[in-house]
Amino acid sequence: MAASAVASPRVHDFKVVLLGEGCVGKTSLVLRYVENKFNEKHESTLQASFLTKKLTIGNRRVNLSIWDTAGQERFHALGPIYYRDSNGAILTYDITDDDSFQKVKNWVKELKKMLGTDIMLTIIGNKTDLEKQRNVSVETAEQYAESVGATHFQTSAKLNRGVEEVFLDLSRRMIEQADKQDAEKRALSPSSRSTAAGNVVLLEETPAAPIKSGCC
Amino acid sequence: MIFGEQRRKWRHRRLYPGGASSVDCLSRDGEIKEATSASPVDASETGSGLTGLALVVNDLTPAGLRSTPLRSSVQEGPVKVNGGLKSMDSFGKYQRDVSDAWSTEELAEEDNAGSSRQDDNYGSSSSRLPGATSNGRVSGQNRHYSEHLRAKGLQRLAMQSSGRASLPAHSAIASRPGLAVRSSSVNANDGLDERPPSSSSLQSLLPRHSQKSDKFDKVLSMPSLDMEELRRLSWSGIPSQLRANVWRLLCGHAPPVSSKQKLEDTLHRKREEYQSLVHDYYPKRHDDQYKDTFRQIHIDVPRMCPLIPLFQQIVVQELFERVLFIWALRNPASGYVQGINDLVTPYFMVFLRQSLALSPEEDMDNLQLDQVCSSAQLQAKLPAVEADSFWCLSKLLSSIQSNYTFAQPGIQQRVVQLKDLVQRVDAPLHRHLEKCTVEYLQFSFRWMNNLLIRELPLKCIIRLWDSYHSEMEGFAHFHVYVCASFLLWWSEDLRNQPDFQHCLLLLQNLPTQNWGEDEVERLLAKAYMLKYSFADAPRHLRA
Repeated sequence: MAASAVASPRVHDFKVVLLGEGCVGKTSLVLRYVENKFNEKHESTLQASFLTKKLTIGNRRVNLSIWDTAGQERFHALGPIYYRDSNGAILTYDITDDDSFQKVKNWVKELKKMLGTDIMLTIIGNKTDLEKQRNVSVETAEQYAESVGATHFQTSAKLNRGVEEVFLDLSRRMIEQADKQDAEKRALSPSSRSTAAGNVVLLEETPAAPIKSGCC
Repeated sequence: MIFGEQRRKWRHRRLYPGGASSVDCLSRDGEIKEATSASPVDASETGSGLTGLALVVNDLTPAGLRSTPLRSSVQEGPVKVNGGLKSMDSFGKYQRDVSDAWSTEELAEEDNAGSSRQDDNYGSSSSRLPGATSNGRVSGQNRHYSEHLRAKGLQRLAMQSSGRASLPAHSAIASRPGLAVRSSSVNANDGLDERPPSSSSLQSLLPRHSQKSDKFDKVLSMPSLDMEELRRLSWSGIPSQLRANVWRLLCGHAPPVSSKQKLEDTLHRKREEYQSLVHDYYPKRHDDQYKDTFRQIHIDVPRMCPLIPLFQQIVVQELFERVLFIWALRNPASGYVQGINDLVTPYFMVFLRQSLALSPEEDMDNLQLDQVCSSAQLQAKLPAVEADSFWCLSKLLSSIQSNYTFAQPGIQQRVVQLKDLVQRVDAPLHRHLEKCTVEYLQFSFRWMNNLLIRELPLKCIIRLWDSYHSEMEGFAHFHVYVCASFLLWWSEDLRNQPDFQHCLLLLQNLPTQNWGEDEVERLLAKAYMLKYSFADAPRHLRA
């Protein structure tokens, strides 16, 4: 599979998970992105919803499988079944709600612990249409994002600001990561690991795996 | 061989779109004979056991009900099971549970006019009766007859609507889970009114309907209320105008007395009690300790049924918030969990319909409360609706509390049970889901957490709850069988989906928007068959 993929224009299947506190706009973001719709009112997400989107970046075709998860703390235990094999995570907070930003930090910690650096992280401050009620400063959020190797975006699902960019950027990074992993595989397969660029990544990967397997 | 001949007759392909699969695999391996003599251990652990179960599930005839492989091996096989007594007990329970799910008189009528296929079916299976009936307690002509009626009742339910339009491409399905379903109308709760006249003419339906109401009236007017009888009647649907009263009784919110005075006194006392709880506890919603709970409720309630105007009214939303907050405060082990809000809805709708004396046909979705009655009237009526909803919700939740405690062990367990059950009764579907790497938890968590409320139109849920309330552990145990029945419904559609994406998109947007009583009753009939088939085989459902 890997061999043929290198030759022809590559199709990537990526899994993306949306995490974050309840009512910060996770579902609205995905709906805006996937269907370009915005409902002032929609049902709270129970457990998780699954959506898909296809896009093309350069000569790469990307199929996104998106898990939009429920925000309530009680469902936290379900998290792993959605982020387990994810290539990317979008961690969303509401710019008017500092608590929701703290929640993002918790998710980052958990993802780092469980998945190491394999997963691409994007942090989103949503609801920029409510700028006047902002409680999380852009600087704080950007600094934090940088410190954990995530990209930071500000969006308004309502006004359709910044949403497309989030998924484009994340997809690009997931492609890069996939290429990097492919290169590592190729470098490793003829049993000459001298030129592998990502040895550090591989080392980090090992402790991450056994921590919590079969959690559910 | 008699089996070869009967195998064909046991097929109830038309019961379910996907129901054929288990039968198909049954006829392919042709192991029926072995299955009937299989030891219980085999039956639970080997392929032939599976065959046997498939046989039972698809065999609706009275003889078949008694000659499950497991039970016959109790008598014949050397291997011990839990003991014959237990199996007789649960058979007795089955008896009690179903015997009046369909009224005998109605069925007797139908027998005369019944289709030749059904008669033929019964005739062939009755030839097995002498051999199969070695259970001493289950003998006698009357018993046979009533079982026959019951079996025919199952068939009647199952066959009522034989055709189902095949599933359109999934692109036609509403894009968000639950939304499409819940935007559909909630009017006309009474199934009998809604069921399209199938084999019987409309004229014959109407008197039957009133006959049904009469039976309820009779039970409800007896000096000491026969709850058993009430459950039996209610299992197959409660007339709309009686539903509120019967639900209150079945929940255990109203006392099982027929004296109007006593009833009113108790309800009045409980309603006052609720009011004082609100008075004492509701102000705490701003306390540090509780503000997170209230915040969650407060962001969820306005997002309920977003397309139904009734739920957009502040007075309704505040009512829900109070009910949920008070419940959460009194149940700290679980607290408020998203989804519990949905469970209030059926009670609220049923009690509101009664309180406003709306006819069964009246559409409630677009009801503007301030327009149908004055604010004084509302103030007089709504508190009782609210209090009754609260108490009934409390009763319901106490039966499924482990669904909502930390890590939700009840749900995890029930999802495993569902998986186990489907694996046994529809192996091709199970294999397909596995092949597509679809995990049961991914789609059925919500089925358990919200008791299918997001999957079916509300009027269907209300009919479903008639039966749940009538079952001893309806919301906890029987619900798993209903979920299995629901999944099997889509078996063929699911097996036609090529991969994970398609399966999951279908599973979270199952096209039930146009479902009515008819579909629910078929769902229930299948669930009941499953439950009965596994009643004596607890090993099969051990998580």
